[in-house]
Amino acid sequence: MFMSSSSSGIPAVGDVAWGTHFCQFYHSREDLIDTLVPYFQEGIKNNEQCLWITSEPLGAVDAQDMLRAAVPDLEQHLKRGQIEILDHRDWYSRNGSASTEDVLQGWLQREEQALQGGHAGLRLTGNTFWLDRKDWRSFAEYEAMVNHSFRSRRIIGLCSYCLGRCDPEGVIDVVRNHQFALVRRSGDWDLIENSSLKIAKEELYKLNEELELRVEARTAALEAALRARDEFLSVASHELKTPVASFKLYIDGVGRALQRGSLAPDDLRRRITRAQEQCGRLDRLVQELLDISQLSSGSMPMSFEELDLTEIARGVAERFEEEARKAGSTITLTGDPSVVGKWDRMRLEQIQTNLIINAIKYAPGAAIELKVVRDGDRAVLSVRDRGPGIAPQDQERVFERFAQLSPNAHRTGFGLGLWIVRQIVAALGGTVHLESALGAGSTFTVALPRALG
Amino acid sequence: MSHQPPLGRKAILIIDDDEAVREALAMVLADEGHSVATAVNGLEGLRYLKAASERPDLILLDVMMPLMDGYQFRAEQRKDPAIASIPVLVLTAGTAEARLSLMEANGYLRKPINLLSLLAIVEGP
Repeated sequence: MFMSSSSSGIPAVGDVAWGTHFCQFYHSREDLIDTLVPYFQEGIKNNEQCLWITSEPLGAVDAQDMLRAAVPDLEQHLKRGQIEILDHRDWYSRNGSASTEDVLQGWLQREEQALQGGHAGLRLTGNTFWLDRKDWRSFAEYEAMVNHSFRSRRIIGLCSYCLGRCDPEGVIDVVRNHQFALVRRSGDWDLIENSSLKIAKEELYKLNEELELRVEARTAALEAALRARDEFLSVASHELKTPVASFKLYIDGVGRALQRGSLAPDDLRRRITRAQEQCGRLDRLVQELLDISQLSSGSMPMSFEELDLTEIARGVAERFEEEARKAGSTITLTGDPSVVGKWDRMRLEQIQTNLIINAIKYAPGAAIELKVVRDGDRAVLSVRDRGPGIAPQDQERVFERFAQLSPNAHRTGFGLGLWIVRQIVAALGGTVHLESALGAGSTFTVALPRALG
Repeated sequence: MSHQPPLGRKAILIIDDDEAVREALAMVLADEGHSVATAVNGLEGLRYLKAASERPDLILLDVMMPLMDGYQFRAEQRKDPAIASIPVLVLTAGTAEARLSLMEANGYLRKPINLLSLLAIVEGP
């Protein structure tokens, strides 16, 4: 299996990701045994290629003896070459001098060999006890290179530094060039994280938190959408069943009365008219449902022709005159006598119809003012009512899907009139605005380009 | 004119916010000789009951209505001993009907209503 991390074997460290390059500051030979023996014991167990570069105070022979105590079949692993335990002189200076580039290439070659040999990766350690103070600077640069190069490799590297041989500046260099450092303090191993790693971890944590918040917000939005859908289904069922109910009663009643032979022709005609009205009502509802489905899927076929917006407004106003009168309202039309543009007739009528029906429904008993004006290359239509108005916090919501404001509001239709208006206006390249205040009525203003494109 | 309807004929109050449903119900019930009064929501129905000189024999009650819905109407009706015992037949067009039994009505009919079922209930056994 190709794991992205491996157990370090060192309890204070736990699992580490491949590419981890860390260091330890030790005081004594016992400190080295304490970390490196379990480190390699774990590496052998995990089928990793192991490379232990030793230095005083724990030389190669000594290290081998210590590891053998923990790994009884060490000889076999040594014979197979899974683990090598070398003196630093045989590794860092094998070409006569410690060329940093050569040393680094050496590690990387070993990793390639390890993977080719079917090992899970390369686990290594080096010790800098031998390092001269005068060479410290160039060695720090080498460590920085190692830190960078290991990141994308299946290598775990642990560098051991004798605390007694580091000056304070040196300690800082070492910590900076490793992802984290192990420090022996009063018998326990302490983990010191490099500040950039810490920052990266904090960033990750923050990102994670943001992600969680986003997931929460999305979930809430989905739940709200599901609730809105259920609410819509309930409203739709009620709206569709109501005209069917009255239609059926009229027809069943007619049937019964005819059987009894007690129905005068005038009465029959009246009842049939009522039944027809309910059919018309049902037809409009079904049409609205189809519109909703079409608009929701983003497909809205348009057929553009030259039209007069004022003329269409006049027609719609006349059509709703009777319904407005019943609600105690009047509809007046003002503005320019003719505003010509290229639009879709059915969609223009739909915009005006929905706005006027809303005004009649929500502002009964008050004047409704319809106004059409030409404003350069735009046509502006406004519908003003003198009703109760819409509170500022609800003014955006009225355009949303399934957004009838009060759950107990008098429902007619599916509560999607303004949403439909906004979809059509957007498809015509225009805008729709609401100006309203509680007690001061509402004005819906639609601005449309007179010619698209 | 007698306030007492002829034998087998009932006084019925229809409470429904839909004008067409009210009118159609009133029409078919009048065809059968019943006397009918109408109200457009629970509040108006309650006002009618409190002001009426005689109680109706039956109330046909819609559920979803503005101002005062069917549930609120039932709660108010049951609080007032003068009208609490008038039988109520609930007519519903909604889908979420798990709560309906809370109304403890005498009967429930789903819209669209079957005329014969309605008349059977109105005219009783």
